[in-house]
Amino acid sequence: MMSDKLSWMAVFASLAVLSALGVVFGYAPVEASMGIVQKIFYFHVSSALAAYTGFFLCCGASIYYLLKGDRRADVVARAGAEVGVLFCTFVLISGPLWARKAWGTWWTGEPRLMLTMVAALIFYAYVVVRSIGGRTEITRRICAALAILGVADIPLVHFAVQKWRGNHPRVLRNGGISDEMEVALTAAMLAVFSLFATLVLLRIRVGMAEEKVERLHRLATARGNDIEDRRRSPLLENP
Amino acid sequence: MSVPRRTPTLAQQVWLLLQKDLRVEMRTGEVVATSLLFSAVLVSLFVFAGFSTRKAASEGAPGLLWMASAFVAVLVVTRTFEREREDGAVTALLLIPGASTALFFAKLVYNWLLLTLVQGVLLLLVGGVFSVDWFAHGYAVAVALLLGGFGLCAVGTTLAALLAAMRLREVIVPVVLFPLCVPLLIAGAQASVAAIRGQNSGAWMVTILLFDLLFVGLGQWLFGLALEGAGGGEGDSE
Amino acid sequence: MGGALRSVELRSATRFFGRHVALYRCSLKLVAGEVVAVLGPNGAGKSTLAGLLATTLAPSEGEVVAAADRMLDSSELRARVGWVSHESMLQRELTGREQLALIAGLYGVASERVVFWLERVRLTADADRAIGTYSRGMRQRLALARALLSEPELVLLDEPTTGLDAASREVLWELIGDLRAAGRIVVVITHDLDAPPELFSRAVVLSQGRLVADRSGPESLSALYAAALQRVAP
Repeated sequence: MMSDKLSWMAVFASLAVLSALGVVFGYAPVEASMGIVQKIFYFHVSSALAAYTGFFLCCGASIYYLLKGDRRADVVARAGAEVGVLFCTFVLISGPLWARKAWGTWWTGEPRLMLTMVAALIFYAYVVVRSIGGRTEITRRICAALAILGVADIPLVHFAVQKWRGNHPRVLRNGGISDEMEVALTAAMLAVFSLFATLVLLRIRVGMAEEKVERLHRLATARGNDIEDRRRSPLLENP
Repeated sequence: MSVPRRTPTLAQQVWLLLQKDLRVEMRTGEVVATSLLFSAVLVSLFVFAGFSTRKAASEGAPGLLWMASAFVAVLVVTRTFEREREDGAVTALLLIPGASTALFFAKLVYNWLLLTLVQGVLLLLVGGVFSVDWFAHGYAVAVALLLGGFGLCAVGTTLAALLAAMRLREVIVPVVLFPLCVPLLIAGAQASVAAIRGQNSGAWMVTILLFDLLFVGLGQWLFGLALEGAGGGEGDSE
Repeated sequence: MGGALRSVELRSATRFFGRHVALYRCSLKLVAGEVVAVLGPNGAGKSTLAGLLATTLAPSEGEVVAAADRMLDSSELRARVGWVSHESMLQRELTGREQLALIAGLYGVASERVVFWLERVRLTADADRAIGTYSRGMRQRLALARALLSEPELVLLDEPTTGLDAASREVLWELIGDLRAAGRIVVVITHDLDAPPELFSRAVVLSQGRLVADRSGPESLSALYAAALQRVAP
């Protein structure tokens, strides 16, 4: 039943992405100074929002996991981080493309771009720790802590970067966009977020399946083994 | 046969653990010696990379000073629990009531002391190489380094505990520590730039302080939680 | 602090590590004054059992219940645990005296007890040498003193005879006798089947993460062990 719902979501997301592409390229006007490259804007902005949604989802689920020890929360946290990283990577590619056209350079000290880079680095590290640590309770706890530290850091990074670079002229104001552009932005948002939600739910489903495999494996072989000396705390764990 | 006990306060426990680490470090001198050597090598690298010939020393020098601090901080914090883990001494410590909180603060202060010592040397070295007079307009640079070093150690000590058993720990600690410390490094470098120009660096100091408070609080919480697990431990979800 | 520890009980405690099952539905109630030998081959779940009792491991299923005048939570139980594991839990750079003084200070135990325990495990002469220079047996004796310094009510001894010479073993048996007389709960994980059987009031056997035998009385450990293993042999 769940798979049916998810399939329909995937279909919806595909249609939303296709129609958003149609609206962005067919309906919204070509911007005067940037030309066709300005089309990046619609997906760039919505992907950035999706990435941050993923990171905040990860942080929230991690807090719950640390307090309650519920492994489903850990699965949700992992899904949020991984899909967030995916969208964040897209933002870090589309950002420089935009910067190249708008300001003639691949990288600028644009505050929001720097913030996104820091967030991406933190959550890349999260994903790397996950894969190095393997499927152990300690890795789950470490990653939950990393997610909380990372998300708590985001407002501080934002503040520092704004204050540092804030006095530079803002080259582009997004304030004066036309109605057609607004429609296109809404379509892109809808598309990106339905894609985001589908991917997160899929990842959660895979995670739950992994949990189930582990549980079944355990039930099948409920017997002693060679790693009984694992401790509760990472300080006590042997490398 | 029961022996009377007076439960020690947190401060007493912190002091005992700190004293122990200082005593061991004085006996071996390993961390201090290698960290000082490392910072000398680092500054000489700055020279060979051509930084010292730059004219805008007031822009470049503070950045390098803070970068060097961050590198040294990694060096110091990664070794935080090495000695205790060798024969499992940390297990005995974690059995003691209140000792895990005390352990966090003792290690934080210990790392901070070591880092401050090395930062003092770095200040002299970088100042000499770039001919910067850090204290031309007061001691704001030193204050920023002290406060900033505390923040670096707060994050670093937490990460050292969390990642103590992680494979590739020497790489993972800086990979996580540096991004987390971006606001601190920006604020520290900018405060130092402002300070040597004789400008007001107050707002940046506040940023550093905010960072310190946030990460000491979170670090202490996560340290305890991650090391000891939530209440009944991890249940198996159905 | 809730009075003296009366009992510690595992209630259908199971512990997983990922896909592996270290201990499976183990129920065991230990009461004050009992000295329990835990026997079993490597990988049987003995150390996991110790970890659960020490509360450094949490059960994946089931629970660990400790009772004094009232029920104790896991941090209250942990404060009453003394543990000698297969690691020495000592820091090599310290001297024996410094190590004990540190532990005593953190527990809030009077410093005279350090002198007492150094004497008790016959380390007074070597107390001011670094632990790194100790022999295996000396380290093991210091580990015993470290674990017993806080007057724990639940004493977990994981292979305590490792590296001990005959005289040191006598000290160990004597210490265990004292603990029994004082009404403590002592759990001895051992391979040493020649330990004096009258020392133990009870013996349990673990195999493949399950509790396969639980006997009280003066049966010799080797006889019990042989019988239990025969029962679970394929």
